[in-house]
Amino acid sequence: MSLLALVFSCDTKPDRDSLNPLSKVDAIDVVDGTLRFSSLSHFERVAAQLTKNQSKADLNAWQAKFTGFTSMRSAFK
Amino acid sequence: MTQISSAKSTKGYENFLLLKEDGDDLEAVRIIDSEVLATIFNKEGVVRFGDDAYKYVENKVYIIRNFSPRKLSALAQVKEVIHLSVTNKRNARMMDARNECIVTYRSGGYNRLVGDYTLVTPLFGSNSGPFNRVKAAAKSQKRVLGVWWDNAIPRLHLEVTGATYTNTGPATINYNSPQFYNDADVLFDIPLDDGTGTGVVTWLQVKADGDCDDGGEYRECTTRFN
Repeated sequence: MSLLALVFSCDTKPDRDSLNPLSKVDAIDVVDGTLRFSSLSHFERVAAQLTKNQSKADLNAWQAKFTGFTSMRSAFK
Repeated sequence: MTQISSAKSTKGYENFLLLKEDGDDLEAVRIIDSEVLATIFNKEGVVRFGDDAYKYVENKVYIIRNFSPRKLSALAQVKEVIHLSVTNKRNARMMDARNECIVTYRSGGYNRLVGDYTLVTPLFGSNSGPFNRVKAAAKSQKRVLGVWWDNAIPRLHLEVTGATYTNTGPATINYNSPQFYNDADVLFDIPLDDGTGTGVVTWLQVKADGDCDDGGEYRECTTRFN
């Protein structure tokens, strides 16, 4: 009974990552010049959030947070 | 830019740009046209998630399981592939009743303002089959040795004001970009279906306009999607 309650509690705990994925920059690593997300769903949530805030200033500010990373957008300019 | 234009080859840059035929010229095009995805993928066209990675090439994405950099040189062995969009040379350039949506002018060289459509299947969020979105774009470009390159101008703007769908008829839509300053391109994603899952866009009303770097103001155009 207590185990069931514990599991239920974990399942319903708010997922801060899903609420504001852009705040989870620290969960994105730069590995050999490549961004690494914790999971595919994390990548898709961040991409969807960026799509809602895709002014060039927003995108420039976001990618500037990652030292050692050159985006394709920057490389093409 | 000059090196690629002279050689008419992307050698050394093939991970992030390609050369498309454009009449007698070529056009330098970024491998990933989405601004968001081109911000997330690196200049090699790679993004990692968990132990896996996406490798983006022209019109398709390889899913590389248990990623290691050496697997990028053996893409032919990767079995999981997402096919993204049409591969013909230019599937739906903006057209009006008379001309392609291109205004050419000279300002220390050959320059132009171009409107484009591209049919796409998004990398994610796609549940309506292939080619369920259209991208409408306005671009400012400069010609260097027979290759058209993106080129910033003082102001560039794109507006999509209406659409007609096969089943539901005319619809009012409003995609109105900011007035971009010193940018080379403006791009909108627009759903290709009418929300019922049955109708598709047959016509879009789009206007691209800009203040070009010769001091002129150019306005184009109401267009047909076909």
